[in-house]
Amino acid sequence: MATNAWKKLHAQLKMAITVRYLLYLACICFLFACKEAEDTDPISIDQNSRQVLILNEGNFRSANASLSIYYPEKGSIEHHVFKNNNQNRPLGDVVQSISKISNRGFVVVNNSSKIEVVDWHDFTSISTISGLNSPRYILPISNSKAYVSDLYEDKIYILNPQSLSIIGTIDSKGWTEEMVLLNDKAFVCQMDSNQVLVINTQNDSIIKKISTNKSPSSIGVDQDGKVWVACTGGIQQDYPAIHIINSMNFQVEKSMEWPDVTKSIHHLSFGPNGRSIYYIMGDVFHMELGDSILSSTPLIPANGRNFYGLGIDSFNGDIYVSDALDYQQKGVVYRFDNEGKEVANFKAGLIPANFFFN
Amino acid sequence: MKRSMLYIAILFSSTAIGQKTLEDTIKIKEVKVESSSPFILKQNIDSIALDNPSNKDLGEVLARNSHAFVKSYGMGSIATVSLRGAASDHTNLVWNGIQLNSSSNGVVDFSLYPNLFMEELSLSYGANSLLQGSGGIGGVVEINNTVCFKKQQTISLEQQLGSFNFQSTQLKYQIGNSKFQSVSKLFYRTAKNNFSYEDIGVEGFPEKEVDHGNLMQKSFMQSIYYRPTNSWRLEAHYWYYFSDRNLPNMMTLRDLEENQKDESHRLSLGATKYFNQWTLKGQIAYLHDDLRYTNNGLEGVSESRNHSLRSLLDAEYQFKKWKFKGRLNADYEESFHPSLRRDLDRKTISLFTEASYYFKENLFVNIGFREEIILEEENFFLPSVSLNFKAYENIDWWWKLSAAKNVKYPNLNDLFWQAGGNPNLKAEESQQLEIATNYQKSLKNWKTKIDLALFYAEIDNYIQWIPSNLGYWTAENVRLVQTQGIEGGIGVAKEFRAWSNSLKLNYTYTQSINRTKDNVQDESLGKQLVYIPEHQANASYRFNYKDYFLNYDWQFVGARYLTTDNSSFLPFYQLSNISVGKSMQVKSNRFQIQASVLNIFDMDYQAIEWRPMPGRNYMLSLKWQLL
Repeated sequence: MATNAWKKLHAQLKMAITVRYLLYLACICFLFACKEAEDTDPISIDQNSRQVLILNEGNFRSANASLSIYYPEKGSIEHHVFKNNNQNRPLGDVVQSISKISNRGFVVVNNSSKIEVVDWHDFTSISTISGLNSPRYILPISNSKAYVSDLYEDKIYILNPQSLSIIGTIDSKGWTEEMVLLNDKAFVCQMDSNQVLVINTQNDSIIKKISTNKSPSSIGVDQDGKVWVACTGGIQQDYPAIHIINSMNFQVEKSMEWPDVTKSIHHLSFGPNGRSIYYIMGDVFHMELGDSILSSTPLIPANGRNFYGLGIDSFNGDIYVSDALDYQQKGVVYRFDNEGKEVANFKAGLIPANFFFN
Repeated sequence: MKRSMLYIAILFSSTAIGQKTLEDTIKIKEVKVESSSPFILKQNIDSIALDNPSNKDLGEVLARNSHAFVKSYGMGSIATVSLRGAASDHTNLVWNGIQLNSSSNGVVDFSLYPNLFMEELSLSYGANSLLQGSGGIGGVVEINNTVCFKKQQTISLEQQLGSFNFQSTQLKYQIGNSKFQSVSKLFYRTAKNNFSYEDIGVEGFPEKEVDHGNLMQKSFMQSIYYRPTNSWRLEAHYWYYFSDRNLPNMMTLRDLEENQKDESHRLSLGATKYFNQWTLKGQIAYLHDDLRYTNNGLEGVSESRNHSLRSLLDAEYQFKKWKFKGRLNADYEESFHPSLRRDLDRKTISLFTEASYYFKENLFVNIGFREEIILEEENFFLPSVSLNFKAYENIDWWWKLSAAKNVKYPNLNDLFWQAGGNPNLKAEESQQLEIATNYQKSLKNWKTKIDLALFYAEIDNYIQWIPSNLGYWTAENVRLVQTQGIEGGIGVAKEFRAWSNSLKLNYTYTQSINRTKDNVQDESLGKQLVYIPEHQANASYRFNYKDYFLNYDWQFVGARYLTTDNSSFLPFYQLSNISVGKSMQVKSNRFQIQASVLNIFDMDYQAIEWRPMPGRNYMLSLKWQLL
């Protein structure tokens, strides 16, 4: 009887050992499945070289936005600058824009509903302004005042960039996008409408609504002090267009439409002289001050590339265009000279969307 | 006589054979597994896995017991299933023959299916799903309700208590005789899911608690079976389900508060008639699914409703060395959502026919055709062929070689969502090849089972939503995807007097590779698709001694890529759960108590990036049965 019990126990033990052995074997097999993680060491920023900051938007709700720095003189690039210089904390979900206000960087992280305030020299975090709804762009007005546009809030936030607190709001209805400041007036694109708001920055009140084509998204000022607005045309609702607005009487002086609702104009950008204008409409187009129609010949044809972001180097007029590829891998940044000749191309982060030239 | 027995065995292979699992065959001696049947066709999941309270829903059962990759968004949160490297809307879920996938997005949330509501669970991978309908490019998960016609009256009440205020109550009442059976099931569950985690999304990586993950789920199911004569069988099932969940936050989106309510009514009526040489079965079902989603940034509720009427007629006939199978499906689906251009409907008629010819007992070929007609839109012809044979006369070792074509017609959202739906989408088409083998051996009180399958498939016109230049996402046929891999399974069981042991291991290797290059800078060519792990494994060990039992489950999920160029990934994780329990019988009362520790090693992991997952947690279950 006792031998039987012993035999049983022995069989159980054997089984248990076999099980353990199999699991152990399985674990060894899976060591092969382990992969090396990305480099996470802090990055030292070269302060002596010119920098092109690249905002890699990342995927919606994936918190994989990142900040890359490209050194045009050296042709080298650093990735994940924010993350690596902040103990591997991710930048957040959909980075939208960056503004420099007195040696601080204000990085707007749209879907994380926050603004990361960083030291401009090394991008280490100073503070995080949270509790915003869906912030998009920052327009510095003075040392103690900046406007923050928002997608969902129906308001423009008034931020004190020194105390880093929200000191007020401006009722604006709908989605506010890019903004520009000229003679104490802020011109604000209202993306889900067909108007540009004009705000008196002295008393933060809306003094005018200028009619445009559907979905004004990007805005800038030319050498003559005229305000240029590019409208995407919405979701096949209207023709894409560029309007030129007189900043004194707020009249639209010129409207240039592209008669095809399936196209969209975005990322209107100015060259360093304020006379050359660039934008994306599938391809990259170029026009000069004084042109009265939109060109049908692109400066840089996309040729199957998925042009997503555009920026002009304020130092030498180089054109930076990003290709988001399939939006799920590291995107490409193409650098062209001001005549559209390719100088370099390199990989940035996921969905490179906006540039800042330092 | 022997041959006809075999034919009958094969004929019912989809329902009868193979359901009796390793465990059952050992415990219940009178149930015999028909040894000479080619059941490499499907993977049957042990009823013990369904009964184990530490598997809280169908998604968890599949993750721990099959080759499926289950993508869970968090504790109690949405869980989708990918099979053989295909997308989650390429996995069909079929309940008593009726497909339950959402008409609008094609996806099934496997966390919404209580294990109580099914008696049988099986998976058919790849083209083996064709009998159950098209679209299951990855495969099909089948859940069935069955009953035993005997005089009985049983009540079973189970109360589960777990960490994070988890409470679940399940009641099953069954009454019947040799002609009539009624089964009623009630399910009620609440949980706070307020586990703590290290928030690596904010500065200092503080310890935080999920403050928005509570849920309440209640459901009811009534089944009635009637067998007026031995050759007739009628059944009716009604299934009501309501779930109200706050979706747990992502680490990087603290301020977002999402809530999802799902409500379903499902009614299914079926009749089966057995003739001498053939069987006829009809089924009709009405499905009503309602999903209401809100978040604090959204005005109002986003409500999506799907109604469908699905019917099927099944016929099986055998004649000498031939066996024929046919299935006619007629489906009507409607979808409503403010973002759909109009109230949409779709009518589909499909016919599946299959002929098997037996050269001899151990060698047969199978030729099948599926004709899928989407009325006023498109139709598809899907052939399949397989060769099945036993390697040696006296050894229970089957082989199967098969080739087939499958198609997934775009979901209504893909076609008509405003904005971004693309009415010009083409159907996703897949060609599939498979070699599978199955070996079984029983020796005294040992039993061994080994399965191995190699598969290869191409999915053309792979649909993805991609951002467009217009600032919104559109559905496009973007890729050619190649999937290939290995599925291996081993089951060993041993019984000795009052002891019994069983061990099951599944290993899955999956390559799901992009074969399309958009432009010269595109580095996704030849790379693994996102969120499809290459390596996956699970094991479950069960030990019984008299009335005591012990369960150990282990699950391994390899690294999942987050980008199509495979430049970033989530690391692998492995989870272990252990349960011990005892059952007792006092007259006609049967009690069972079980205590479980889940995630024993307190593994800190993310199944989906930035979605916190619980560490070590506990569960206690008490079950009372009145027989």
